[in-house]
Amino acid sequence: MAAASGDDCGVRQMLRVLRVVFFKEAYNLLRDRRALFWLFATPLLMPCLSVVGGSFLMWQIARQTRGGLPVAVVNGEQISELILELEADPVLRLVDAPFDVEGALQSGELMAVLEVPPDADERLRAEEPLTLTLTSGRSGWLPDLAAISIARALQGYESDVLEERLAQRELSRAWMDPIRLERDTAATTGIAATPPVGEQAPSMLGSLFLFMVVVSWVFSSSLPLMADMTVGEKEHHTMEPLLVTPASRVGIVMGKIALSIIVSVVTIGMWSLNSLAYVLFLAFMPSDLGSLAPPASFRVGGLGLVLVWLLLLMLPLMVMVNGLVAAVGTFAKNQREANLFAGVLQLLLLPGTALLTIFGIGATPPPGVYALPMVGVLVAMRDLFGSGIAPQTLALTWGAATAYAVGSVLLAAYVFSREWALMRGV
Amino acid sequence: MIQTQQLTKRFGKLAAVDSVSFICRDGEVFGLLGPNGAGKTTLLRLLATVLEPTAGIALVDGLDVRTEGARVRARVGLLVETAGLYDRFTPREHLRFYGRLHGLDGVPLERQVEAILEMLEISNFADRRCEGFSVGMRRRVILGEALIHDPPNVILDEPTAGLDVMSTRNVRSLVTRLRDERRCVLISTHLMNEAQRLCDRVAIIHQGRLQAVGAPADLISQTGAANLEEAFVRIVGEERLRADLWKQERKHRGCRFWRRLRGKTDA
Repeated sequence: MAAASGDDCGVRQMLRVLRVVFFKEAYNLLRDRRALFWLFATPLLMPCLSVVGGSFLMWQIARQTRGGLPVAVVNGEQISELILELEADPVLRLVDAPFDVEGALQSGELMAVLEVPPDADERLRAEEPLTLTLTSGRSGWLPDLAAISIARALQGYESDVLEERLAQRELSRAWMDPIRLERDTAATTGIAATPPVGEQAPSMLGSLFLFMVVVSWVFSSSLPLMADMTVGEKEHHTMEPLLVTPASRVGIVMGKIALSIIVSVVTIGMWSLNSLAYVLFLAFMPSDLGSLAPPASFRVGGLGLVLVWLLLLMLPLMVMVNGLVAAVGTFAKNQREANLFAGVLQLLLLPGTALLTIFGIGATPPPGVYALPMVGVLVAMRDLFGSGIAPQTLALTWGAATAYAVGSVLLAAYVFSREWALMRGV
Repeated sequence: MIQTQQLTKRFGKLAAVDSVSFICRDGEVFGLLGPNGAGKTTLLRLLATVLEPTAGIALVDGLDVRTEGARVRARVGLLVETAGLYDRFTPREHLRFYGRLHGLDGVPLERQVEAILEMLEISNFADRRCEGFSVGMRRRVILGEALIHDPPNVILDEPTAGLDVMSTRNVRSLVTRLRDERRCVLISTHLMNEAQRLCDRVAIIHQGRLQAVGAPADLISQTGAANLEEAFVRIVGEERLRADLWKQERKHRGCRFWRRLRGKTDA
């Protein structure tokens, strides 16, 4: 008979319990295939599915446009330069217009037909307006691709005609564009994820969308997990055996929170890598698909800085929210009660706070706002993506968030050691 | 040794344990006998520091459960009747986990795990996940968790509830073994023949109050009964036991009524 160590030093014992509980929860999670699927399947499969889907799409485009898409031009001899442009397009193959054009379009024998008026040459020379008619088939996406290619060729031809007319009148292209608007944004102050000057900053993306997405990424996975790890002990009737060990209550709660946060960080890391892969992919896209590319300031250069600051601000926030969920999960009688709170937090409180931050708090709030729980971190993130934030304000935000995180963990540990909470539902 | 003096636990107005005093010595099996709802489990939870006493004193090896909770827990092994297992863990992993929470590690932990596996005859399913285990298998693993830190005081709440004949025999022989190892064993049960066979002394508890304490043979002779069951009925009083049953039945019916009513409203 030997009673085990109830006399272990406080902090050392707490850290040992933290490690033991963390690994126990981690093993439990690693063996729960359903939870793993919901946590990691989407970010893991998304790039693979995108690659497979993208490759399939490319392959189909290459296969179906091999040899060119058949298009016909009626009265093409009227504008021979346009015909040359169309012939130079690798996607298109010019064919003679059949007798039954409508039937050819319906059967898919022809993808599109461009109808040029019989007096087109004359009208162009007389500088009269000229209207061409483009009719495309309706079978799938190939007629649309042909129509886009024809429109692009026509645009090039139209530009040439315009240049010629301007040259005849000794006018430059700028004459056509008497007033121009150049957009710029004010310089950032302090630390900012966007470039300090020059390029147009993606303020809408930064202040409205991006951090709400990040917040939802972080909490969507960890909150149900945290609730399950605490109230799950009650539901599986393992709470009491756990309580009759001399293990530190703070250690137990911290072990659970640590796993929840690591899962969050892994999930957010995977999503960030996905985003990085997307950015890199679009950076190497051909220039004519540039409209799909992200704003310049969010290309690879700024992303590293964004991630570092994001993690720095999110970590105490995650600990705080997980601590609250741990406290409520410990108090909850069953999974339903715990999920109700996690749901309210996830679907109402967090988005509500985010919306309040975006629309309710001005551009230069007093420093106290940065010290408010949850709101402070969100305002700091908004500033980080927008006009920038002074280092001392960032330190204040981080310090306040850390204090709330510690408070939240202590609250969870307190609830975990109270019989009124533990015996509910046991 | 476990000792209580005027130990009381109230939940609101209800006194679940009311001024209970007894001593359970080392090398003794002490039984708590009582009908359902008598306060036996609450009393055991108080001694294992899961609940906090409202009044009175409880000492485990001289340590106060109120002020020295962690040290008391290190000296107590508690088998809870309703305890469960982590379904994705094997019995060996359960024992390791609880051993580590008790501060064991490395070779001593492995040695203790092997000893428990062998003692409770768990070895042949020690590396299978607990999902799908029978009641007997689960109970043995939970008992192993309670004994992993080799506690000098063992508290067993209804240790044979729901077990088959062979598992019951195993548990009984284990209790005898624990007594032979000079541990203090406190058992709660409502099975009179089990108490008569296993316990050196028993305490009869009813509505949170201790009605009688003594060796089973002494209680039988004092009441002039033929066996412990009859002695128990005479001590508590047949009318009071019937009243208890009626109360429980009424409570159960009330719950059913409200459940049914809620179901209809939901529908």
